[in-house]
Amino acid sequence: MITLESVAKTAGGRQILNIALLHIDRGERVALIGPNGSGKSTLLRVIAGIVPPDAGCVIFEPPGTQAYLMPQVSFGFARSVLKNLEIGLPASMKSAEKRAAAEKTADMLALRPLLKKHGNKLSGGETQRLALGRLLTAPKSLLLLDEPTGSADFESTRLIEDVLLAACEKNGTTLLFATHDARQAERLAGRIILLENGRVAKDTPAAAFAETAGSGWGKRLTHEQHPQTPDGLPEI
Amino acid sequence: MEQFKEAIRLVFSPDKELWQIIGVTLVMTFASTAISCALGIFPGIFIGSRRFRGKKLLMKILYTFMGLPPVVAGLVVFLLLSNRGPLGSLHLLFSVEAMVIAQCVLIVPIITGLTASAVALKYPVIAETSKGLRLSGWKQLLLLLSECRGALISVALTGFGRAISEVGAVNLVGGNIRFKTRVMTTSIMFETGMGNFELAIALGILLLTIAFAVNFIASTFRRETDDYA
Ligand SMILES: Nc1ncnc2c1ncn2[C@@H]1O[C@H](COP(=O)(O)OP(=O)(O)O)[C@@H](O)[C@H]1O
Ligand SMILES: Nc1ncnc2c1ncn2[C@@H]1O[C@H](COP(=O)(O)OP(=O)(O)O)[C@@H](O)[C@H]1O
Ligand SMILES: [Mg+2]
Ligand SMILES: [Mg+2]
Repeated sequence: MITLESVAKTAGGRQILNIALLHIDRGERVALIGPNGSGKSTLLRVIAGIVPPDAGCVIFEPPGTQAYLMPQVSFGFARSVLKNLEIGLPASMKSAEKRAAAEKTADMLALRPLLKKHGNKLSGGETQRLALGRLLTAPKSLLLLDEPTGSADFESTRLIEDVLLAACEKNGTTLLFATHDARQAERLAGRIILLENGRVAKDTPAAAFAETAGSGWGKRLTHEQHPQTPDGLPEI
Repeated sequence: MEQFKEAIRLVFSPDKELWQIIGVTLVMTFASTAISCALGIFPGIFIGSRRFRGKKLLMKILYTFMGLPPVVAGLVVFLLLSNRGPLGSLHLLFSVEAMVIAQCVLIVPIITGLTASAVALKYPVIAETSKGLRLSGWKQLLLLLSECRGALISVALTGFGRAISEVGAVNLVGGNIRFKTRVMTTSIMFETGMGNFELAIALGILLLTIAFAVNFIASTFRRETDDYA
């Protein structure tokens, strides 16, 4: 689905991204994990074509694949939540169809009671559900999500995770998402990529992440999020 | 006190000449504001949303022009339009058109500069969101405009405020000709100089009233803070 070759990005005199080779298959669900400033958002922006890399290239298979990005900062446009949800739908769609698609998405993400609210007056977690909803009104083949549950409470987080899993299963969507949460990575992804200083520090199947976390940030993360049980096995 | 009473009487029963002055003022002000917005807003959006070489220098020049002394603008337009000037053949000096041109020289940089800062503030997150949704360039621009609507109305009102209160430049290039280029500000100057304080006060009150009415009407377009019923 996506191949990155020698992708590099420099900002403020510092290399913030340096990916020798990264390949993601069609239908894979991949978590990007790493400390603040490790380049997760930058990588997602480069793949989405929002930030041009200084070197290297991003190849899509099949060519012309559209990558959709939910940015780290969710934003509600100054119009109703319903109209916000309709924004991404093609102009050729009839307005009744648009509305039906928006309402269906609202129901999935518990946005129904907010449909008439103003999109820029929502709480952080509500805005995040709205931002995700705008991407889920129509099937997508490639979704890039930057900390999709960063402002959500635990129930919204679970709801978003369930909706995402269902949508990816149904549409065969390839998913790449950034998160700080190793457990969320394991719940959603089949593969976890650890990014440190803009480089891929680890790339493992999700199930093996805790064991192979190695040294440094990855190891501290697994210590933090998988408290050791008395017999030494990670408690999941 | 007598003068003030007389001024109030004039406010409520303006004579033909007063109406004519108000008419010229409104035509000049709205034309200057509309033309300046038409010329200034899109460059402002461009500057506020793009990165390009020389942007910093351009912004510095723009900020300098935003503070351009009106009489300097008036002088430049005067020289351009005077009989021996490069645009002398147009015979525009001492006309309402000349006043509008001088106003635009003053107001376009203000519109462009304020639009650029308003857009620069909102552009990054709006752009990332709309590009992430893979919206067409047109749709992105329309969304940006609608998100900046309140700011753009404020920008236009700032231009309007400048246009209606301007006196130095319009006096120079308009000449304050009775029944032709005399506007409210230039007649306040003139009548005060002649000692006709009642008329000057009446004009001042009417000027404030017009400015308030325009701001009031514009602010109803700016609301949009309520939820949708
Ligand atoms: N436009 C930019 N200009 C300068 N530095 C940037 C820019 N964007 C990101 N950075 C820097 O790049 C690094 C990686 O940022 P980011 O990709 O947002 O990290 P993450 O999402 O993993 O927290 C950070 O140190 C950040 O300060
Ligand atoms: N400026 C506002 N106008 C109208 N409703 C608002 C505004 N700000 C927040 N709300 C609403 O108030 C509720 C609480 O918001 P908020 O305090 O941000 O929640 P939390 O931080 O717990 O997620 C939300 O339903 C949100 O939509
Ligand atoms: Mg980030
Ligand atoms: Mg909050």
